[in-house]
Amino acid sequence: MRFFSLYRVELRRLLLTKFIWLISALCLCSPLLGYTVYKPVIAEYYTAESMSDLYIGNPVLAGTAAGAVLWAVIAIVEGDRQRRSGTDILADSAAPPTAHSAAKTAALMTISAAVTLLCALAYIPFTAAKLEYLFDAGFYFMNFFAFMLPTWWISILFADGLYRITRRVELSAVLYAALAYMSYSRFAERNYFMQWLNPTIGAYSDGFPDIWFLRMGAYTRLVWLCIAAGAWAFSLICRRKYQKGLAGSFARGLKKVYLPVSTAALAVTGAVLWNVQPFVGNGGEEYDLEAEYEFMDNANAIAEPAATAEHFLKFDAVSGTLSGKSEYQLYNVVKGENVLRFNAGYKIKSITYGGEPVSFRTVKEDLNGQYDTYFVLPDKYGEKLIIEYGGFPTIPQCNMPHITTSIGSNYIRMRNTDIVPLLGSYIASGAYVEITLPADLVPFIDFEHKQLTDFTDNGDGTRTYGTTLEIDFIGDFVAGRYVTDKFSSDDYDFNFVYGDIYRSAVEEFDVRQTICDVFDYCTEHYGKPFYIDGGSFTLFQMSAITNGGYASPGMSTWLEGSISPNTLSDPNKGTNATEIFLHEMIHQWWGSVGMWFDDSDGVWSAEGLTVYSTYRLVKEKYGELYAKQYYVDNWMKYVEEQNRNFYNRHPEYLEKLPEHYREQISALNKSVNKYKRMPLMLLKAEELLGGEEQMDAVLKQIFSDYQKGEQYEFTYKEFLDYCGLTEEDLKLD
Amino acid sequence: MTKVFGYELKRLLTSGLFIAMLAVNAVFAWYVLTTEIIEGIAYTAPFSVWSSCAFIGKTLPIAIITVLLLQAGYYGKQQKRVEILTSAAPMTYAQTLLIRTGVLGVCFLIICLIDSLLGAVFFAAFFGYYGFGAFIFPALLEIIPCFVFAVGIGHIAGRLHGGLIYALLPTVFIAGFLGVTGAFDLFGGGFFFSYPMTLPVGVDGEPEFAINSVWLIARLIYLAAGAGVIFVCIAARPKIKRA
Repeated sequence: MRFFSLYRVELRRLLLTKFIWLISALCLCSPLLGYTVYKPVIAEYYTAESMSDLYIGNPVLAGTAAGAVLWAVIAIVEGDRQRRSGTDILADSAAPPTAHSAAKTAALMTISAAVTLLCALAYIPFTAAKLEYLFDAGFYFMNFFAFMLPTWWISILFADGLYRITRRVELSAVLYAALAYMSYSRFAERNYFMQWLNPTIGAYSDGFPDIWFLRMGAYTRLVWLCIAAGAWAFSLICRRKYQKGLAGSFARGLKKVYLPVSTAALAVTGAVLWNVQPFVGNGGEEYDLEAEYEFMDNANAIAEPAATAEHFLKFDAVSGTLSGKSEYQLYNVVKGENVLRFNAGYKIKSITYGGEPVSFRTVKEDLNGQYDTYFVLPDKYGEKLIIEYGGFPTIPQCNMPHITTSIGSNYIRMRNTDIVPLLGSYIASGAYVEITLPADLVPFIDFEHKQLTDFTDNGDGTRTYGTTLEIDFIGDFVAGRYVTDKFSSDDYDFNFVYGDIYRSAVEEFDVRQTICDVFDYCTEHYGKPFYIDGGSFTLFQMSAITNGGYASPGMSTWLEGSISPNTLSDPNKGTNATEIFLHEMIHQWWGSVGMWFDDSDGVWSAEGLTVYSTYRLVKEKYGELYAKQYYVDNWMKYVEEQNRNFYNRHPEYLEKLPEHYREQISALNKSVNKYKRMPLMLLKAEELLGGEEQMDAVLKQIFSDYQKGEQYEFTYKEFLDYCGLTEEDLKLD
Repeated sequence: MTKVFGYELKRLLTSGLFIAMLAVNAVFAWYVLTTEIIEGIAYTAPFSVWSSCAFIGKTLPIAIITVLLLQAGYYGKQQKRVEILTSAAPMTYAQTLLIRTGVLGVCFLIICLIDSLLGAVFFAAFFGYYGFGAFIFPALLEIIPCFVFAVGIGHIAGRLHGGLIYALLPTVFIAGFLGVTGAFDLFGGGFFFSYPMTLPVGVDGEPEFAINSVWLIARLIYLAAGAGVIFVCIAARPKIKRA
């Protein structure tokens, strides 16, 4: 009861303080930083910032970080106020110090909650006006209450606690600054849970609002609230008493058993929550492709055929989880240990064979966000193997902060082992898949993104779709509010699949014509791809939360940002998402399902030729100056930097570096070689051949020969032979 | 006078603030070494003189912030309360100010030595490099004018108002970390990142180390300005209000 009366007094007192009104006003202004100088939402050169990134993500994160610092200032100043005025001894004798401290902190937290609500209300008109038809009020408010408010509370608890421990304004400010710095340091760059002050948003989607980052944001805030509350409770143990110093007061503080107990309980809760977080895998930072090949090679070597495979999948959009059951009718069993690979977030509920439970063990070594599970089947033939599983799918560390897997009410995206198990011991020649998901989402399956159309309405807001696959593997599964637009150019019939919300933008900016332009250009310069059956072709829009795109027979993905209002209304943008759209289209000729390239030498690759072709198209579309500035100059800058890099000049020192530095330098070199060095080499080849026409003739010949199946993995040497050039000729100075 | 110097020095070196800030400086120095210097500054070797100067320049703002925080103690309310007592000591105001400057200088040098020691450990452990002799002269050119100027400004700010020294802290932070790159970069962190990029590359693929004359003049200006401000502080001796 004493707490509530003290709380009312403190709240009233704080509201009468001018300083708190100043801090509140500054907090209200702090999201403005997100429009101008502080833009933490990660946008890489190949993705465009969505409108939600620009007008929700950035302002909220800027307000979160700046406001947190402001609330820390007031927490420290308020903590010091009584000591400064010399009334702390009187106050301690008049009110129970622990209840008083709690009341003061609670009052500050109450005011910060009110300021958060005001902040959200203040920016609604502007945000809604900017996002127009893309504005979603629920998503907007969730950002403020998942990121801003809890971070402000964490900051208040830390600052108040630090002051109580140190009893020095400058020292607590320095320690708080160190904590804040930790959150921004490179140590926290890939450790998203360390970022207590600056929660991560990889990218937001406008057309397919996804709450994955909100989920992780709220979870990380909960973890840090526990830790900060633990630190705050610890500070109460350190509260000075009986004119003692820190050590003496601490020893006496321990006698109030509830304080050390609550400190330990909160700290342990925070640590446990951190440890069991379901969001990000704890594997390597680079995708281990070789390990995947190794698994498949082993499977191909030992696997027995299975008669049938059936998968029954149910998505729960509210909890973001998948529950599934996979059934395999086996002919023979593989002797010894059988293995299956799954998303690391899933838990296998049971494995049965012929109705009998089978014991299994999951080895929790994260490989590309997956765990392997081992089991031994009884020596019986022709029985049914049933695996039941489920859980919240984890994002591999190597993919973060791009969301490759997410289950929400607006969008579902899953890949490979996120959906069904990858069995290392049995291969079925096909599979039947049954998928239950929210009724308003349109599902597409596999790398070709075939739309599922056969469904049963369950009457509870969900539908169950059924389909048969030619192989027992689901490369990609996407469901969202999609529409399919069919149109034709001279040579092609397009199935243009995009978010329903973009219908008006597609009309307004004549996206169909742009697509026709790209395909006409490439067909004219390089020839028609053989894999477009009957001229039909699908262009599939991916959510902005995913990373990059890909193409497969008769299908190419394209990024959501390519069609966002700010992208489509800015023709002067440099290498932006629209050009990435062109890039992805050109992969229909080079790489993916176009020609395959032998990229073992680290330079020669499909990416290089695609970048070069994009440059040529952009040059034709926007002019030579534009293409030189945004392409050639950019390539030269990166190649010069690569040449001058100390470790490239002195590789002997590379060996002396810790492994992760070596990996960083190697990854950078690979990227520069593919995307910058090779296009420059192709530009040199163009000069030596005598110009663009001659180069186009060579490329057309190569593409035509490949169409006849004369090449498989096209090598650099073969390219040189076609050009009549040598490696020396294309060496860059 | 030596006794007072020793007492003041002991008081600062054993203060919680200095020890905490020394730890902050050391952690930050190691962070700079392992994240930025390891890449090599301006494409030079991580153990080149350019990289060494950039390392010193990057760590100097935190060292100067430490010095200003310690200096703020000399102009705080608690210090003012005992001013009447301390002023009874047989020392002139000039001596007091110089002692305080000297004590701050020793604290600053200790921080720089710790940072340099970490740098030496880093160069030796990561690259087997031990030729630290070439780093000393440019480092002294970086740290001495920076210290004299900052302490001079700190003294005059403290004389005007005790809280003004705290107001200098964000200025130091901005000047140190937000991309000042010219020859007048007080700390040198930005200058040593950008200047070698403008120089011709030698046969070994790196620009040869040379002290830029404009930068040298800027250092002399900072040194003279700092010394001048300290002199002004001494000349304008404050009046002690007696009850």
